Amino acid sequence: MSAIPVSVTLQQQWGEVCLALQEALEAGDEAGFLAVVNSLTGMRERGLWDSLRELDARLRAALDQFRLDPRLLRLAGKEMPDARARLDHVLRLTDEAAHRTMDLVERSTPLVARTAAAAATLAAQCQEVRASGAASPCWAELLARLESHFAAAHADGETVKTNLVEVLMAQSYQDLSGQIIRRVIELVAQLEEELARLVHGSEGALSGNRPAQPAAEDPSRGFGPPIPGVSASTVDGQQDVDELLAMGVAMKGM
Amino acid sequence: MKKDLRFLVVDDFSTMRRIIKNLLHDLGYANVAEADDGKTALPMLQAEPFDVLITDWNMPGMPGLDLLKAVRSDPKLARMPVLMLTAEAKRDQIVEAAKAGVNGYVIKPFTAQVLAEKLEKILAPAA
Repeated sequence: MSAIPVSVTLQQQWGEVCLALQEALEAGDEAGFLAVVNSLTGMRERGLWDSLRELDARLRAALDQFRLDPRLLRLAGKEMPDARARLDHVLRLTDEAAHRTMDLVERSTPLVARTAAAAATLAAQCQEVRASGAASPCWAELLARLESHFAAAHADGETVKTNLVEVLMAQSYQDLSGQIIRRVIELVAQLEEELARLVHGSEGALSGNRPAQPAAEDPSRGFGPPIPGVSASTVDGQQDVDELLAMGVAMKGM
Repeated sequence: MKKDLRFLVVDDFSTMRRIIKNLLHDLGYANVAEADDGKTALPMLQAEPFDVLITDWNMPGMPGLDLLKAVRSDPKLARMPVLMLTAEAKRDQIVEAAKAGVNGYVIKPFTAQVLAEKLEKILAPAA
């Protein structure tokens, strides 16, 4: 039966103290009573300190093992800086590609604009000559075909100009994706710093003497483009923006 | 609408500055200067005469909202039309920008037509 050994242990551990307490109480010996209470507290504290010391030793051992893990060293020392360099490179590549596209758009737009304008003028001139009746039937037929061709060339040219504006606008992906990539680069840099501190600067981390944390997100600096499934309380399109802006302006006037 | 207006376009991405500059050219505005954040833009605004400011919000150095507040608190610049052109899409931010005195707010990605409409609207009193 387990009750016997427990009561035996209790008796051995606390019996003498309880007896001393009882005797002091019965004798009305306040000083003696308090002395026993103090020794009782001391016994409890010793146990607590022993447990804490043991916990601390185990924690240090676990941290040492964690710090010496080669995967962690490789992550902090090589893979995270590599990841930042790769993302930087992606930013540069998309920037170059967007500028190269815009170079071509800027060079093509005046050419197509010139061709479209010339086609419109020629279509009008063909129509003028044909309407004057000065051309023979066979020339008149050719003029009609030329007029129709120039009119189509003008319309096509205008469509190409519109499409080139759309190509230009599509380059805004570089700004939007770039803002998102920059935020990921910042995050990786913070993680890298924290990991390096953990691997190399154990004393600081354990004593609570930690360097300043990265600044908390400051709303006045902005949050970057909204991400589906991540960002909350965002607007749904320009119309939504216009309504909120009008509301904000009205609130300002209050 | 006056076509000789002088614009300052502020954005940290050179691709976006180039897109806006091209669109302004298409609308007939050829006088366009650029800056890559508020810290660079503010001394330019204080030193040279500009008629319109188009600014991003999220930029290193000085963000667009701080630039807007600096412009509104400078007696010489306080009445300048300011269009914010940004991907910042939180509802509170738009209300905050309105309270800080922004004249127009265009959300990225945007179309050439939306930019033209908003510019027309904020420039109407000046035309």
